[in-house]
Amino acid sequence: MLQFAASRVLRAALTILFVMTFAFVVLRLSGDPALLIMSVDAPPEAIKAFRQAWGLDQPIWEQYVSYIAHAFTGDFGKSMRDGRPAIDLVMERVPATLAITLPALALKVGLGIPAGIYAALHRNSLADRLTMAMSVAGFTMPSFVLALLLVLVFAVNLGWLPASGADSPIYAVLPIVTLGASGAAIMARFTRSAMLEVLGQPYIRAASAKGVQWRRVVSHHALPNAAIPTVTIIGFMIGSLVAGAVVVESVFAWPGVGRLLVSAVANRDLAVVQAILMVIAAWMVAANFTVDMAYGWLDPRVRGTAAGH
Amino acid sequence: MSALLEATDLRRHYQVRTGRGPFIAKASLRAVDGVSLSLAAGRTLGLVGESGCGKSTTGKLVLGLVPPTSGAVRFKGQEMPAADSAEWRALRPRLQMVYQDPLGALDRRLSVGVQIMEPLAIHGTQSPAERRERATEVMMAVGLQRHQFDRYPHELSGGQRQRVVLARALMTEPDLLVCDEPISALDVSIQAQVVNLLLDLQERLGIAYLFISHDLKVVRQVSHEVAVMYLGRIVEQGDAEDLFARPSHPYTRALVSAIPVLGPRRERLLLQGDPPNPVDVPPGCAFHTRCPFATATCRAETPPLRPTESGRQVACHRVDEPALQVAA
Amino acid sequence: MTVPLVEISGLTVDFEKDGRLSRAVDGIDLAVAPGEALGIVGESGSGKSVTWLAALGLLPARARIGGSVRLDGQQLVAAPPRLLEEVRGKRIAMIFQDPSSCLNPVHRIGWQLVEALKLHRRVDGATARAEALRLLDQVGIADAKRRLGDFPHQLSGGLNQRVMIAMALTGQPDLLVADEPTTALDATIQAQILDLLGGIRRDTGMAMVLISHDLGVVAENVNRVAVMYAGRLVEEAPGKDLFGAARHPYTQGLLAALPTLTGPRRRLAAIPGTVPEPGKAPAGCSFAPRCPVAESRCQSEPPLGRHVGLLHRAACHLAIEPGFSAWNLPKAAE
Repeated sequence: MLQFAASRVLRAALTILFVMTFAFVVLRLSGDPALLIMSVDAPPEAIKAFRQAWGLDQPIWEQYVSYIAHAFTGDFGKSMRDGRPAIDLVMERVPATLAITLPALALKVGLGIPAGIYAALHRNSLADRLTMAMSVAGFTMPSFVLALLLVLVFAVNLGWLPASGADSPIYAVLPIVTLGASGAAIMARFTRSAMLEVLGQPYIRAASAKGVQWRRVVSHHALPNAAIPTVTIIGFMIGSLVAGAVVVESVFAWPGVGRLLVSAVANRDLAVVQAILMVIAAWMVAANFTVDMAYGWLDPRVRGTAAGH
Repeated sequence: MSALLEATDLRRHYQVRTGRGPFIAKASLRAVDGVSLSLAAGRTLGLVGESGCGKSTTGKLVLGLVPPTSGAVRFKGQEMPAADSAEWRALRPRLQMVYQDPLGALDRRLSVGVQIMEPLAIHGTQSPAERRERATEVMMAVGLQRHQFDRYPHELSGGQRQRVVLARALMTEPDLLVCDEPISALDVSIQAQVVNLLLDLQERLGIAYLFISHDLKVVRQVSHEVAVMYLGRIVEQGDAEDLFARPSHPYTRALVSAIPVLGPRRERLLLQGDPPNPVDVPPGCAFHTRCPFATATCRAETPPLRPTESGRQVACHRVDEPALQVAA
Repeated sequence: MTVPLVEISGLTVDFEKDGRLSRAVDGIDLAVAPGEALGIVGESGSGKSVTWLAALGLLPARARIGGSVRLDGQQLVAAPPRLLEEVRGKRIAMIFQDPSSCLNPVHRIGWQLVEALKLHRRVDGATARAEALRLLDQVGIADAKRRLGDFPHQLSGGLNQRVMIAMALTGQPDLLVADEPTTALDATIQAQILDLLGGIRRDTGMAMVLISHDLGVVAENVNRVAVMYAGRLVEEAPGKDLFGAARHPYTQGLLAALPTLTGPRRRLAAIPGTVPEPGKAPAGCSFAPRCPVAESRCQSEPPLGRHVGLLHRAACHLAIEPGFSAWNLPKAAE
């Protein structure tokens, strides 16, 4: 177990390092931050001074090494806009993002999984077909289209909910629904196929043959097995809790990490972009790690024992 | 006349990891552990044993599909070239293989006729028309019909599919056909059809077979000689009819007695426990853990495969003791 | 004549697919007496397994079941789920072909055994555990205590089948239906399992239906044999009579197609053609297209089972004499 965990941690660290390096390189290649921030007709001396101040005149590999070295001490650079530490800017925004993605996750799981299970148990019934049709609609529709549709209906036409901003909890409703709806659709479809696969297995029939009541067959025999593949999807959804709301935040002007990312990229605010990517990567990696551990708990075959012992 | 196929002291070991959690150890899975056999042209050698005995791996070693960890294979006097080398590919027309699952061995998207012709397309020099003609000939020889040339595998029955696989294997007129459980997936009545077909083809074309199966009755039907394998080694070898009528090695006796027959039973020898893992081969005679006659010698020394006076080869320390041969 | 434990009359099973029905079982009449061992032989498509799955209500919703199955007089076809749940495991238990996939992979062996014990014997906790250990012992599993804590993937096929048998015994059923219980196992393990089943039957007086495509397995372990082909029962007789003097061309063909382990090697009789696909059975006798002695009425009229000897029934228009084989071969057995 220790060996397993240690290798996973090492892999996680390497992944994060890779993401940071990648972001670093791509950002530097994509254009000169100095020109963008300083506006086109700034005098060349000002631009030069800016470059010097931010260390942009140094060779790339020196910048890289310095960045990594500082990263180890917790210093991820400063925002070029307002000079504050990049990591502070990012972490300030994380709660806002979580305020919509966590409830959305609850919606995805709370709505999607029961719908999927019901559909699987009542295969080919009207309820099943309806659920599947809605789920297809849910995940084929791009999130901004759904967002705008919801805004149109609930904010513009009915006037029940505000269209954008974040002044009070009611402002969160539409963003949460947008995020939750398509996720619930994916969850339903996936849960349904996982359940159907499990229900077709010989051990389900054998449990029935034993005399176990159908209800119990579903709850104690089918669901624990269907949980295994379902956990992958949930793990992925947890992983995107921080990163997954970029479009929605932009549409609803919600002050979260996603919106910050968009503006930081537009401004070539290198340190902030890098910090955001690093936080996202770290979060994803942690979520994956948790899923891996969960697998071991859910599926005894994964724990690494051979037959015949 | 030298044998068509000769294998000497073949071994095939795999490195595996066993154990749980932090105690993952490296171990050696001894799939084949010192097998020697020879097969003459036009004859059938049956290879029997239960799961884990290494018979399938032996089939692959003999064809050169899998390189041996040690030991040698000689085909027509020449050493078997390395797998996937040009020389090995040049040998393919002489050595063919037929597997258990005919549906898995055929491409779903090509018609069976095209697949039957394929070996000639690869190795032969005929024109497409000649190839088609030959394929049709072979199809009829195995009992398929002309019009089935354009059918797809899923449109045919299991028995017909296995005939397609056979036809394809016969296209290059091979000297040796390795059959690995070729009829296990078929219904009993179809098994008989394919068995008769194999025997007919052997008589007409002089093909040698290495017939690998867990079904002793079928093996007896088609084989001239039989080798019984246990945990990677041959424990008994000899004439097919004689071996099944008067088995010598305790494992063979147990195996023969385990086969349900329609008729009076001769001997009943019930083994205890499960066959051990090929990762965990017991020292000495691999069978001693389940053998009712095991002694200290059996636990310490591996018995070599030695000829007995009846012409049989048996790997047992106690084979010469007449008292043991009486029904236990 | 004892009252049968299970009586199947005119059982039909159709599967619905894309709006069409295809018939898998076409009118079976069969009876199992208390304590007897009945063997059911058939190839793929014979309906031998479907018959018993239908009896226990274990088929999926798209199966349409007709006819009657009575357990001690109680009708099982179209019975309410609660009734079937009472029957399963307690009166009729069933074990299947691939034991390793019939056990739930995420639950320990002990858990699955105790589930059965709680259900059938209403015991719990320490009593259940003790009983589970005793059962594992009874089926010949060594180191039972450790096995209780193991998962199915840690046990071999043979051990898993023993566990399945132990679970089947918890309800102390009157009948055990064993559907190809040893097909997926090695020969030496097969012998052990069949031996175990025989011992259990002797000890408990339980009836058994042994379903197999392997005539040898059936011959050695049952009193009476029924042969099925394409959803119909074609012959039924005491074991010795069936294997010694089969009267239906299909049974004779099956016997003649079997290679033997002893006796002279002879060319096998190969029944030409293949088993008809479910739902596409020919009119008249379903075996007629492959039968060497079929006549014109065989193509048009389906034959009914007739008595051709003591306790011996065959569904054939022709009266084949005992000892004569439709395949013109000497008697197949021995």
